[in-house]
Amino acid sequence: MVSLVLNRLRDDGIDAVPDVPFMSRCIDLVVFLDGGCINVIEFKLVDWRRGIAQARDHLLGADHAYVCVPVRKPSSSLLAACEDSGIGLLFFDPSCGKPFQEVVSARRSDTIWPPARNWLIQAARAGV
Amino acid sequence: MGLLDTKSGLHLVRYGISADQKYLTGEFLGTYDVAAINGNMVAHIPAALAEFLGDKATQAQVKPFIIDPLTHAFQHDPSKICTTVETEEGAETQPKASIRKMSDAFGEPVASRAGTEAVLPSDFNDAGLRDAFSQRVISFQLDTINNQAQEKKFMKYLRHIGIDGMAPDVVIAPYFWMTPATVEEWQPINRAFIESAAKHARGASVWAQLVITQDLLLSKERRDNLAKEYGGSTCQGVLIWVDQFSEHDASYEHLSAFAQLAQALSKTYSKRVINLYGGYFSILLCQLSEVGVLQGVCHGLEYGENRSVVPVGGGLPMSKFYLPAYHRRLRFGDAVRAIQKLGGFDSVDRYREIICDCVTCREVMTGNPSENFAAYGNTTPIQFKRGDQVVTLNYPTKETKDLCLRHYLHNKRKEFEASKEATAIDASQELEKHYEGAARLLGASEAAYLKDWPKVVRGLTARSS
Repeated sequence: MVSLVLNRLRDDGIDAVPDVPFMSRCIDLVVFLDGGCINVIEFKLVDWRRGIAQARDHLLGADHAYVCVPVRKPSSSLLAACEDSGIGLLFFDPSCGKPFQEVVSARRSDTIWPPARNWLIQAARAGV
Repeated sequence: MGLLDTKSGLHLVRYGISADQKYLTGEFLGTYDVAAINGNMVAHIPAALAEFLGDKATQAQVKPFIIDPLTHAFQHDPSKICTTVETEEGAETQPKASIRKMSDAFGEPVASRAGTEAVLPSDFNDAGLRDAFSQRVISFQLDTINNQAQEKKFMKYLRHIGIDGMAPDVVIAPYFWMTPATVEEWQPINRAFIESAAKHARGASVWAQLVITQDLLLSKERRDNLAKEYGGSTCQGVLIWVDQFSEHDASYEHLSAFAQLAQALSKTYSKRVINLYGGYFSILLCQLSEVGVLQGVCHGLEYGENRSVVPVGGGLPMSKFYLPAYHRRLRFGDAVRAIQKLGGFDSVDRYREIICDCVTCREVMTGNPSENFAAYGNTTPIQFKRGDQVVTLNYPTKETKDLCLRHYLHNKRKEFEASKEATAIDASQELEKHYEGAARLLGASEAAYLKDWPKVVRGLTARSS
Protein backbone atom coordinates (compact mmCIF):
# COMPACT_ATOMS: atom_id res chain seq x y z
CA MET A 1 0.00 0.00 0.00
CA VAL A 2 2.83 2.42 0.88
CA SER A 3 4.76 1.91 -2.33
CA LEU A 4 1.64 2.23 -4.50
CA VAL A 5 0.67 5.51 -2.86
CA LEU A 6 4.28 6.71 -3.01
CA ASN A 7 4.49 6.02 -6.74
CA ARG A 8 1.21 7.75 -7.44
CA LEU A 9 2.27 10.82 -5.42
CA ARG A 10 5.60 10.98 -7.21
CA ASP A 11 3.86 10.57 -10.56
CA ASP A 12 1.89 13.67 -9.61
CA GLY A 13 5.16 15.50 -8.88
CA ILE A 14 4.69 15.47 -5.12
CA ASP A 15 7.78 15.17 -2.91
CA ALA A 16 7.27 12.14 -0.66
CA VAL A 17 9.67 9.98 1.38
CA PRO A 18 8.85 6.52 2.81
CA ASP A 19 10.03 4.92 6.09
CA VAL A 20 11.35 7.96 7.89
CA PRO A 21 12.70 7.30 11.40
CA PHE A 22 11.28 9.89 13.75
CA MET A 23 11.91 9.94 17.48
CA SER A 24 11.22 6.37 18.63
CA ARG A 25 8.99 5.51 15.69
CA CYS A 26 9.22 5.14 11.93
CA ILE A 27 6.81 7.18 9.79
CA ASP A 28 5.40 5.25 6.81
CA LEU A 29 5.28 8.25 4.50
CA VAL A 30 6.31 11.90 4.81
CA VAL A 31 4.84 14.26 2.21
CA PHE A 32 6.36 17.69 1.58
CA LEU A 33 3.83 20.12 0.13
CA ASP A 34 4.27 23.54 -1.37
CA GLY A 35 4.70 26.31 1.18
CA GLY A 36 6.74 24.18 3.57
CA CYS A 37 3.79 22.16 4.86
CA ILE A 38 4.68 18.64 6.02
CA ASN A 39 2.06 15.89 6.16
CA VAL A 40 2.64 12.37 7.42
CA ILE A 41 0.70 9.19 6.74
CA GLU A 42 0.53 5.94 8.71
CA PHE A 43 -0.78 2.97 6.71
CA LYS A 44 -2.78 0.31 8.47
CA LEU A 45 -4.37 -2.85 7.11
CA VAL A 46 -5.59 -3.69 10.60
CA ASP A 47 -5.44 -2.01 14.03
CA TRP A 48 -6.25 1.55 13.02
CA ARG A 49 -6.19 2.52 16.71
CA ARG A 50 -2.46 1.89 16.78
CA GLY A 51 -2.15 3.94 13.60
CA ILE A 52 -3.88 6.88 15.27
CA ALA A 53 -1.61 6.62 18.34
CA GLN A 54 1.45 6.59 16.09
CA ALA A 55 0.18 9.44 13.93
CA ARG A 56 -0.50 11.52 17.04
CA ASP A 57 3.16 11.24 18.02
CA HIS A 58 4.21 12.55 14.62
CA LEU A 59 2.38 15.82 15.23
CA LEU A 60 5.38 17.10 17.18
CA GLY A 61 7.11 17.44 13.80
CA ALA A 62 4.43 17.45 11.12
CA ASP A 63 1.65 19.89 10.28
CA HIS A 64 -0.95 17.21 9.60
CA ALA A 65 -1.07 13.49 10.29
CA TYR A 66 -3.26 10.89 8.60
CA VAL A 67 -4.11 7.24 8.91
CA CYS A 68 -4.62 5.48 5.59
CA VAL A 69 -6.67 2.26 5.46
CA PRO A 70 -8.05 0.16 2.59
CA VAL A 71 -11.33 1.52 1.28
CA ARG A 72 -14.31 0.33 3.31
CA LYS A 73 -17.42 1.59 5.03
CA PRO A 74 -15.87 3.49 7.95
CA SER A 75 -17.04 2.44 11.38
CA SER A 76 -18.47 5.11 13.64
CA SER A 77 -15.68 4.45 16.16
CA LEU A 78 -12.99 5.05 13.51
CA LEU A 79 -14.62 8.30 12.44
CA ALA A 80 -15.07 9.43 16.04
CA ALA A 81 -11.44 8.60 16.91
CA CYS A 82 -10.24 10.66 13.96
CA GLU A 83 -12.48 13.59 14.85
CA ASP A 84 -11.39 13.51 18.50
CA SER A 85 -7.68 13.24 17.83
CA GLY A 86 -7.45 15.57 14.88
CA ILE A 87 -5.87 12.80 12.82
CA GLY A 88 -7.12 12.69 9.24
CA LEU A 89 -8.49 9.57 7.55
CA LEU A 90 -7.53 8.48 4.05
CA PHE A 91 -8.89 5.57 2.04
CA PHE A 92 -6.70 3.71 -0.39
CA ASP A 93 -8.45 2.11 -3.36
CA PRO A 94 -6.07 0.25 -5.71
CA SER A 95 -8.62 0.37 -8.53
CA CYS A 96 -8.87 4.14 -8.34
CA GLY A 97 -6.26 6.23 -10.10
CA LYS A 98 -5.83 8.71 -7.25
CA PRO A 99 -3.25 8.17 -4.49
CA PHE A 100 -6.02 8.17 -1.89
CA GLN A 101 -9.36 9.65 -0.94
CA GLU A 102 -9.59 12.06 2.00
CA VAL A 103 -12.49 10.96 4.22
CA VAL A 104 -11.74 13.07 7.29
CA SER A 105 -9.58 16.20 7.10
CA ALA A 106 -6.69 16.45 9.53
CA ARG A 107 -6.49 19.35 11.94
CA ARG A 108 -3.29 21.38 11.89
CA SER A 109 -0.94 20.37 14.68
CA ASP A 110 -0.93 22.62 17.72
CA THR A 111 1.97 20.74 19.30
CA ILE A 112 4.76 21.29 16.77
CA TRP A 113 8.02 21.33 18.67
CA PRO A 114 10.84 23.01 16.67
CA PRO A 115 13.58 20.47 17.48
CA ALA A 116 11.29 17.62 16.41
CA ARG A 117 10.42 19.47 13.21
CA ASN A 118 14.13 19.73 12.40
CA TRP A 119 14.71 16.07 13.23
CA LEU A 120 11.86 15.08 10.89
CA ILE A 121 13.17 17.18 7.99
CA GLN A 122 16.75 15.97 8.48
CA ALA A 123 15.70 12.32 8.67
CA ALA A 124 13.49 12.56 5.61
CA ARG A 125 16.13 14.35 3.56
CA ALA A 126 18.76 11.82 4.62
CA GLY A 127 16.49 9.08 3.27
CA VAL A 128 15.77 10.66 -0.12
CA MET B 1 22.33 -3.70 63.73
CA GLY B 2 22.50 -2.45 60.16
CA LEU B 3 20.76 0.38 58.39
CA LEU B 4 18.08 -1.98 57.13
CA ASP B 5 17.29 -2.90 60.73
CA THR B 6 17.09 0.63 62.04
CA LYS B 7 16.54 3.41 59.52
CA SER B 8 13.24 4.38 57.90
CA GLY B 9 12.67 5.78 54.43
CA LEU B 10 15.66 3.83 53.17
CA HIS B 11 16.73 4.36 49.58
CA LEU B 12 18.37 1.33 48.01
CA VAL B 13 19.73 1.17 44.47
CA ARG B 14 20.38 -2.05 42.61
CA TYR B 15 23.87 -2.72 41.28
CA GLY B 16 22.94 -5.10 38.48
CA ILE B 17 25.80 -4.96 36.01
CA SER B 18 29.31 -3.46 35.93
CA ALA B 19 28.14 -0.53 33.83
CA ASP B 20 25.85 0.53 36.69
CA GLN B 21 28.83 1.41 38.87
CA LYS B 22 29.33 4.75 37.12
CA TYR B 23 25.94 5.85 38.46
CA LEU B 24 26.52 4.62 42.00
CA THR B 25 29.76 6.48 42.67
CA GLY B 26 31.02 10.04 42.33
CA GLU B 27 28.18 12.56 42.31
CA PHE B 28 25.69 9.78 43.05
CA LEU B 29 27.41 8.08 45.99
CA GLY B 30 25.58 10.22 48.50
CA THR B 31 22.20 10.07 46.79
CA TYR B 32 21.21 6.65 48.15
CA ASP B 33 21.63 4.73 51.39
CA VAL B 34 22.42 1.15 50.42
CA ALA B 35 23.68 -0.62 47.30
CA ALA B 36 21.83 -3.87 46.54
CA ILE B 37 24.34 -5.94 44.60
CA ASN B 38 23.41 -8.90 42.43
CA GLY B 39 25.03 -12.12 43.63
CA ASN B 40 26.38 -13.01 40.22
CA MET B 41 28.32 -9.74 40.13
CA VAL B 42 29.78 -10.53 43.55
CA ALA B 43 30.89 -13.92 42.25
CA HIS B 44 32.29 -12.40 39.06
CA ILE B 45 34.10 -9.22 40.15
CA PRO B 46 34.51 -9.31 43.94
CA ALA B 47 37.78 -7.34 43.92
CA ALA B 48 36.30 -4.52 41.86
CA LEU B 49 33.28 -4.42 44.14
CA ALA B 50 35.49 -4.24 47.23
CA GLU B 51 37.25 -1.29 45.60
CA PHE B 52 33.94 0.40 44.78
CA LEU B 53 32.50 -0.08 48.28
CA GLY B 54 35.71 1.08 49.90
CA ASP B 55 35.97 4.06 47.61
CA LYS B 56 35.32 6.34 50.55
CA ALA B 57 37.47 4.38 52.95
CA THR B 58 39.83 7.24 53.60
CA GLN B 59 36.81 9.22 54.77
CA ALA B 60 36.24 6.48 57.31
CA GLN B 61 33.21 4.83 55.75
CA VAL B 62 32.21 1.88 53.65
CA LYS B 63 29.16 2.23 51.45
CA PRO B 64 26.49 0.04 53.07
CA PHE B 65 25.51 -2.85 50.85
CA ILE B 66 23.49 -6.04 50.69
CA ILE B 67 23.97 -8.97 48.35
CA ASP B 68 20.98 -10.52 46.61
CA PRO B 69 22.01 -14.19 46.29
CA LEU B 70 19.64 -14.66 43.33
CA THR B 71 19.01 -18.30 44.26
CA HIS B 72 15.76 -18.17 42.29
CA ALA B 73 17.83 -18.05 39.08
CA PHE B 74 18.29 -21.81 39.33
CA GLN B 75 14.57 -22.65 39.39
CA HIS B 76 13.72 -21.32 35.91
CA ASP B 77 14.18 -22.72 32.43
CA PRO B 78 17.97 -23.34 32.41
CA SER B 79 18.35 -21.57 29.07
CA LYS B 80 17.56 -18.30 30.87
CA ILE B 81 20.93 -18.37 32.62
CA CYS B 82 22.92 -19.64 29.64
CA THR B 83 24.84 -18.09 26.84
CA THR B 84 26.20 -19.52 23.59
CA VAL B 85 29.97 -19.71 23.29
CA GLU B 86 32.14 -20.75 20.37
CA THR B 87 34.31 -23.78 21.16
CA GLU B 88 36.57 -25.93 19.00
CA GLU B 89 33.64 -28.34 18.59
CA GLY B 90 31.32 -25.51 17.53
CA ALA B 91 28.71 -23.43 19.31
CA GLU B 92 27.97 -24.62 22.83
CA THR B 93 25.42 -23.49 25.38
CA GLN B 94 26.87 -22.89 28.83
CA PRO B 95 25.81 -21.10 32.01
CA LYS B 96 26.97 -17.50 31.98
CA ALA B 97 30.37 -17.22 33.65
CA SER B 98 29.09 -15.10 36.54
CA ILE B 99 26.22 -17.54 37.21
CA ARG B 100 28.59 -20.50 37.04
CA LYS B 101 30.86 -18.93 39.66
CA MET B 102 27.87 -18.27 41.88
CA SER B 103 26.47 -21.79 41.53
CA ASP B 104 29.91 -23.24 42.31
CA ALA B 105 29.98 -21.18 45.49
CA PHE B 106 26.48 -22.33 46.47
CA GLY B 107 27.24 -26.01 45.81
CA GLU B 108 24.59 -28.72 45.62
CA PRO B 109 21.85 -29.04 44.63
CA VAL B 110 22.34 -26.10 42.23
CA ALA B 111 25.99 -26.55 41.14
CA SER B 112 25.43 -29.72 39.12
CA ARG B 113 22.15 -28.50 37.63
CA ALA B 114 23.01 -24.92 36.64
CA GLY B 115 22.34 -24.50 32.96
CA THR B 116 21.14 -28.06 32.44
CA GLU B 117 18.05 -28.55 34.58
CA ALA B 118 15.90 -26.46 36.91
CA VAL B 119 15.99 -27.12 40.66
CA LEU B 120 12.71 -28.30 42.16
CA PRO B 121 11.41 -28.18 45.73
CA SER B 122 12.05 -31.90 46.04
CA ASP B 123 15.78 -31.26 45.57
CA PHE B 124 15.74 -29.63 49.01
CA ASN B 125 13.82 -32.32 50.88
CA ASP B 126 16.90 -33.41 52.82
CA ALA B 127 17.27 -31.18 55.89
CA GLY B 128 21.04 -31.64 56.03
CA LEU B 129 21.49 -30.67 52.39
CA ARG B 130 19.17 -27.70 52.87
CA ASP B 131 21.12 -26.50 55.87
CA ALA B 132 24.49 -26.87 54.12
CA PHE B 133 23.17 -24.99 51.09
CA SER B 134 21.90 -22.23 53.32
CA GLN B 135 25.26 -22.01 55.09
CA ARG B 136 27.13 -21.65 51.78
CA VAL B 137 24.74 -18.97 50.51
CA ILE B 138 25.21 -16.98 53.73
CA SER B 139 28.99 -17.46 53.72
CA PHE B 140 29.10 -16.27 50.12
CA GLN B 141 27.49 -12.99 51.23
CA LEU B 142 29.63 -12.58 54.33
CA ASP B 143 33.00 -13.55 52.88
CA THR B 144 33.33 -13.00 49.12
CA ILE B 145 33.76 -9.23 49.11
CA ASN B 146 35.35 -9.15 52.55
CA ASN B 147 38.10 -11.57 51.51
CA GLN B 148 39.00 -9.26 48.63
CA ALA B 149 38.85 -6.19 50.84
CA GLN B 150 41.47 -7.61 53.17
CA GLU B 151 43.99 -7.27 50.33
CA LYS B 152 43.19 -3.62 49.71
CA LYS B 153 45.36 -0.76 50.92
CA PHE B 154 42.41 1.18 52.23
CA MET B 155 41.79 -1.47 54.90
CA LYS B 156 44.55 0.08 56.99
CA TYR B 157 42.45 3.26 57.28
CA LEU B 158 39.39 1.27 58.16
CA ARG B 159 41.19 -0.82 60.78
CA HIS B 160 42.46 2.41 62.28
CA ILE B 161 38.87 3.38 63.06
CA GLY B 162 37.85 -0.07 64.17
CA ILE B 163 36.37 -1.47 60.96
CA ASP B 164 37.87 -4.89 60.31
CA GLY B 165 36.17 -5.76 57.08
CA MET B 166 33.37 -5.28 54.62
CA ALA B 167 30.29 -7.08 55.83
CA PRO B 168 26.92 -6.68 54.16
CA ASP B 169 24.39 -4.63 56.10
CA VAL B 170 22.24 -7.75 56.50
CA VAL B 171 22.32 -11.22 54.94
CA ILE B 172 19.51 -12.69 52.86
CA ALA B 173 18.38 -16.27 53.29
CA PRO B 174 18.18 -18.44 50.15
CA TYR B 175 14.80 -18.02 48.49
CA PHE B 176 12.75 -19.29 45.60
CA TRP B 177 9.94 -17.67 43.64
CA MET B 178 6.42 -18.74 44.48
CA THR B 179 3.41 -18.87 42.15
CA PRO B 180 -0.11 -20.11 42.94
CA ALA B 181 0.94 -23.46 41.48
CA THR B 182 4.14 -23.80 43.52
CA VAL B 183 3.55 -21.88 46.74
CA GLU B 184 2.57 -24.92 48.77
CA GLU B 185 5.81 -26.68 47.90
CA TRP B 186 8.23 -23.75 48.06
CA GLN B 187 6.85 -21.93 51.08
CA PRO B 188 7.96 -24.46 53.74
CA ILE B 189 11.38 -24.70 52.07
CA ASN B 190 11.80 -20.93 51.98
CA ARG B 191 10.79 -20.80 55.65
CA ALA B 192 13.31 -23.53 56.51
CA PHE B 193 16.03 -21.52 54.72
CA ILE B 194 15.31 -18.52 56.96
CA GLU B 195 15.67 -20.57 60.14
CA SER B 196 18.76 -22.27 58.82
CA ALA B 197 20.36 -18.98 57.73
CA ALA B 198 19.99 -17.63 61.25
CA LYS B 199 22.24 -20.42 62.51
CA HIS B 200 25.02 -19.53 60.08
CA ALA B 201 24.81 -15.74 60.05
CA ARG B 202 27.66 -15.19 62.54
CA GLY B 203 25.74 -12.44 64.27
CA ALA B 204 24.57 -10.71 61.11
CA SER B 205 20.92 -9.81 60.81
CA VAL B 206 19.00 -12.26 58.60
CA TRP B 207 16.36 -11.03 56.18
CA ALA B 208 13.98 -13.02 54.01
CA GLN B 209 13.25 -12.32 50.38
CA LEU B 210 9.62 -12.92 49.46
CA VAL B 211 9.27 -13.31 45.71
CA ILE B 212 5.75 -13.91 44.43
CA THR B 213 3.43 -13.48 41.48
CA GLN B 214 0.81 -10.75 41.43
CA ASP B 215 -2.06 -13.21 41.68
CA LEU B 216 -0.79 -14.44 45.05
CA LEU B 217 -1.37 -10.91 46.31
CA LEU B 218 -5.04 -10.77 45.46
CA SER B 219 -6.24 -13.68 47.57
CA LYS B 220 -6.67 -12.52 51.16
CA GLU B 221 -6.28 -16.06 52.41
CA ARG B 222 -2.98 -16.53 50.62
CA ARG B 223 -1.78 -13.08 51.61
CA ASP B 224 -2.57 -13.76 55.25
CA ASN B 225 -0.84 -17.09 55.03
CA LEU B 226 2.31 -15.51 53.57
CA ALA B 227 2.29 -12.81 56.25
CA LYS B 228 1.87 -15.42 58.96
CA GLU B 229 4.62 -17.65 57.59
CA TYR B 230 7.21 -14.92 57.02
CA GLY B 231 6.02 -12.87 59.98
CA GLY B 232 6.37 -15.85 62.25
CA SER B 233 9.90 -16.63 61.12
CA THR B 234 13.06 -15.49 62.86
CA CYS B 235 14.06 -13.01 60.14
CA GLN B 236 14.46 -9.35 61.05
CA GLY B 237 12.89 -8.09 57.87
CA VAL B 238 11.41 -9.01 54.52
CA LEU B 239 12.44 -7.82 51.08
CA ILE B 240 9.38 -8.11 48.83
CA TRP B 241 9.57 -8.62 45.09
CA VAL B 242 6.28 -9.00 43.22
CA ASP B 243 6.83 -10.23 39.67
CA GLN B 244 6.34 -7.48 37.05
CA PHE B 245 4.57 -5.28 39.57
CA SER B 246 4.44 -1.87 37.95
CA GLU B 247 3.00 0.60 40.43
CA HIS B 248 1.93 2.76 37.49
CA ASP B 249 0.02 0.00 35.71
CA ALA B 250 -1.26 -2.05 38.66
CA SER B 251 -4.95 -1.89 39.49
CA TYR B 252 -6.19 -0.31 42.70
CA GLU B 253 -6.93 -3.82 43.98
CA HIS B 254 -3.33 -4.96 43.39
CA LEU B 255 -1.86 -1.80 44.92
CA SER B 256 -4.08 -2.12 47.95
CA ALA B 257 -3.29 -5.84 48.35
CA PHE B 258 0.44 -5.12 48.16
CA ALA B 259 0.16 -2.44 50.84
CA GLN B 260 -1.90 -4.75 53.04
CA LEU B 261 0.66 -7.54 52.79
CA ALA B 262 3.47 -5.13 53.69
CA GLN B 263 1.42 -3.67 56.50
CA ALA B 264 0.59 -7.10 57.93
CA LEU B 265 4.27 -8.03 58.02
CA SER B 266 5.25 -4.68 59.44
CA LYS B 267 2.51 -3.95 61.91
CA THR B 268 1.14 -7.34 62.91
CA TYR B 269 4.45 -9.19 62.93
CA SER B 270 6.87 -6.31 63.60
CA LYS B 271 9.03 -7.12 60.60
CA ARG B 272 10.81 -4.40 58.72
CA VAL B 273 9.71 -4.43 55.08
CA ILE B 274 11.39 -3.14 51.92
CA ASN B 275 10.02 -3.23 48.38
CA LEU B 276 12.85 -4.48 46.18
CA TYR B 277 11.43 -3.00 42.98
CA GLY B 278 9.32 0.05 43.64
CA GLY B 279 8.72 3.65 42.71
CA TYR B 280 7.03 6.69 44.16
CA PHE B 281 4.03 4.74 45.43
CA SER B 282 6.39 2.77 47.65
CA ILE B 283 8.02 6.00 48.81
CA LEU B 284 4.56 7.19 49.84
CA LEU B 285 4.11 3.96 51.79
CA CYS B 286 7.42 4.67 53.57
CA GLN B 287 5.98 7.99 54.71
CA LEU B 288 3.19 6.23 56.56
CA SER B 289 5.38 5.47 59.53
CA GLU B 290 2.49 5.82 61.96
CA VAL B 291 0.63 3.13 60.02
CA GLY B 292 3.67 0.92 59.49
CA VAL B 293 3.91 -0.26 55.89
CA LEU B 294 7.35 0.01 54.28
CA GLN B 295 10.74 1.00 55.67
CA GLY B 296 12.49 1.31 52.34
CA VAL B 297 12.40 1.04 48.57
CA CYS B 298 14.92 -0.28 46.09
CA HIS B 299 15.03 0.46 42.36
CA GLY B 300 17.33 -0.29 39.48
CA LEU B 301 18.86 2.22 37.14
CA GLU B 302 17.04 1.64 33.87
CA TYR B 303 13.37 0.73 33.98
CA GLY B 304 14.18 -0.56 37.44
CA GLU B 305 10.97 0.20 39.32
CA ASN B 306 9.53 -3.18 38.44
CA ARG B 307 11.06 -6.39 37.21
CA SER B 308 10.13 -9.74 35.83
CA VAL B 309 11.37 -12.66 37.96
CA VAL B 310 12.02 -14.82 34.90
CA PRO B 311 14.57 -12.93 32.81
CA VAL B 312 13.14 -11.53 29.61
CA GLY B 313 14.71 -10.04 26.50
CA GLY B 314 15.63 -6.39 26.39
CA GLY B 315 13.39 -5.00 23.66
CA LEU B 316 14.14 -1.88 21.69
CA PRO B 317 15.77 0.91 23.71
CA MET B 318 13.72 4.07 23.73
CA SER B 319 14.25 7.58 25.05
CA LYS B 320 12.27 8.14 28.21
CA PHE B 321 12.19 11.17 30.44
CA TYR B 322 11.24 11.03 34.12
CA LEU B 323 8.61 13.71 34.59
CA PRO B 324 8.82 14.66 38.28
CA ALA B 325 5.26 16.00 38.45
CA TYR B 326 3.88 12.64 37.26
CA HIS B 327 6.53 10.56 39.07
CA ARG B 328 6.97 8.35 36.02
CA ARG B 329 9.12 7.89 32.97
CA LEU B 330 7.35 9.04 29.84
CA ARG B 331 8.13 8.25 26.25
CA PHE B 332 10.02 11.26 25.00
CA GLY B 333 7.18 12.50 22.76
CA ASP B 334 4.74 12.32 25.66
CA ALA B 335 7.20 14.16 27.87
CA VAL B 336 7.48 16.97 25.30
CA ARG B 337 3.69 17.26 25.08
CA ALA B 338 3.34 17.21 28.86
CA ILE B 339 5.94 19.97 29.25
CA GLN B 340 4.28 22.00 26.49
CA LYS B 341 0.96 21.66 28.30
CA LEU B 342 2.42 22.56 31.67
CA GLY B 343 4.10 25.63 30.18
CA GLY B 344 7.59 24.35 30.89
CA PHE B 345 9.04 25.65 27.64
CA ASP B 346 7.96 29.25 28.32
CA SER B 347 11.27 30.15 29.93
CA VAL B 348 14.17 28.53 31.77
CA ASP B 349 12.84 29.88 35.07
CA ARG B 350 9.43 28.41 34.36
CA TYR B 351 10.99 25.07 33.42
CA ARG B 352 12.93 24.99 36.68
CA GLU B 353 9.88 25.99 38.66
CA ILE B 354 7.34 23.55 37.31
CA ILE B 355 9.27 20.79 35.55
CA CYS B 356 12.63 20.15 37.18
CA ASP B 357 15.59 21.94 38.71
CA CYS B 358 17.80 18.91 39.30
CA VAL B 359 21.56 19.10 38.79
CA THR B 360 21.29 17.63 35.30
CA CYS B 361 18.47 19.90 34.17
CA ARG B 362 20.38 22.91 35.46
CA GLU B 363 23.30 21.86 33.26
CA VAL B 364 21.10 21.23 30.22
CA MET B 365 18.56 24.05 30.40
CA THR B 366 20.72 27.08 29.85
CA GLY B 367 19.02 29.29 27.28
CA ASN B 368 16.08 28.32 25.13
CA PRO B 369 14.30 25.56 27.11
CA SER B 370 12.52 24.15 24.06
CA GLU B 371 15.78 23.75 22.16
CA ASN B 372 17.79 22.71 25.20
CA PHE B 373 15.32 19.95 26.05
CA ALA B 374 16.18 18.19 22.79
CA ALA B 375 19.32 16.94 24.57
CA TYR B 376 17.07 14.44 26.38
CA GLY B 377 15.72 13.07 23.10
CA ASN B 378 18.63 12.99 20.66
CA THR B 379 18.76 9.77 18.66
CA THR B 380 20.81 8.13 15.99
CA PRO B 381 19.33 5.97 13.20
CA ILE B 382 20.14 2.27 13.29
CA GLN B 383 19.22 -0.19 10.55
CA PHE B 384 18.26 -3.78 11.29
CA LYS B 385 16.43 -6.61 9.58
CA ARG B 386 12.84 -7.41 10.50
CA GLY B 387 11.88 -10.46 8.48
CA ASP B 388 12.88 -9.70 4.89
CA GLN B 389 12.73 -5.95 5.37
CA VAL B 390 15.46 -3.56 6.42
CA VAL B 391 13.99 -1.22 9.03
CA THR B 392 15.51 2.02 10.29
CA LEU B 393 14.70 3.15 13.79
CA ASN B 394 16.11 5.89 15.96
CA TYR B 395 17.96 4.81 19.08
CA PRO B 396 18.85 7.19 21.90
CA THR B 397 22.48 8.29 21.75
CA LYS B 398 24.88 7.36 24.54
CA GLU B 399 24.86 10.98 25.74
CA THR B 400 21.06 11.08 25.77
CA LYS B 401 20.80 7.87 27.78
CA ASP B 402 23.35 9.26 30.22
CA LEU B 403 21.46 12.53 30.67
CA CYS B 404 18.10 10.80 31.12
CA LEU B 405 19.55 8.45 33.73
CA ARG B 406 21.32 11.21 35.65
CA HIS B 407 18.14 13.27 35.69
CA TYR B 408 16.22 10.21 36.94
CA LEU B 409 18.67 9.47 39.75
CA HIS B 410 18.75 13.06 40.97
CA ASN B 411 14.97 13.05 41.04
CA LYS B 412 14.79 9.81 43.00
CA ARG B 413 17.02 11.38 45.62
CA LYS B 414 14.74 14.40 45.73
CA GLU B 415 11.69 12.19 46.15
CA PHE B 416 13.21 10.43 49.15
CA GLU B 417 14.32 13.72 50.68
CA ALA B 418 10.93 15.34 50.14
CA SER B 419 9.22 12.32 51.68
CA LYS B 420 10.90 13.10 54.98
CA GLU B 421 9.41 16.58 55.06
CA ALA B 422 5.85 16.08 53.80
CA THR B 423 3.12 13.73 54.90
CA ALA B 424 1.83 11.04 52.56
CA ILE B 425 -1.55 12.73 52.57
CA ASP B 426 -0.04 16.03 51.37
CA ALA B 427 1.97 14.23 48.73
CA SER B 428 -1.17 12.39 47.63
CA GLN B 429 -3.05 15.64 47.15
CA GLU B 430 -0.20 16.89 44.99
CA LEU B 431 -0.50 13.78 42.80
CA GLU B 432 -4.23 14.19 42.37
CA LYS B 433 -3.77 17.71 41.04
CA HIS B 434 -2.02 16.27 38.02
CA TYR B 435 -4.57 13.56 37.22
CA GLU B 436 -6.71 15.49 34.76
CA GLY B 437 -3.78 16.89 32.79
CA ALA B 438 -2.12 13.50 32.63
CA ALA B 439 -5.38 11.77 31.69
CA ARG B 440 -5.96 14.19 28.83
CA LEU B 441 -2.44 13.57 27.59
CA LEU B 442 -1.97 9.84 28.18
CA GLY B 443 -5.54 8.59 28.48
CA ALA B 444 -7.47 7.92 31.66
CA SER B 445 -6.25 4.37 32.17
CA GLU B 446 -2.58 5.37 31.86
CA ALA B 447 -3.07 8.16 34.38
CA ALA B 448 -5.25 6.19 36.82
CA TYR B 449 -2.33 5.66 39.21
CA LEU B 450 -2.48 9.37 40.08
CA LYS B 451 -5.88 8.68 41.66
CA ASP B 452 -5.25 5.12 42.85
CA TRP B 453 -2.07 5.76 44.86
CA PRO B 454 -3.74 8.47 46.99
CA LYS B 455 -6.79 6.22 47.44
CA VAL B 456 -4.62 3.42 48.85
CA VAL B 457 -2.78 5.86 51.12
CA ARG B 458 -6.06 7.25 52.46
CA GLY B 459 -7.44 3.75 52.96
CA LEU B 460 -4.44 2.72 55.07
CA THR B 461 -4.58 5.91 57.09
CA ALA B 462 -8.32 5.60 57.70
CA ARG B 463 -8.04 1.97 58.79
CA SER B 464 -5.40 2.85 61.36
CA SER B 465 -7.33 5.73 62.92
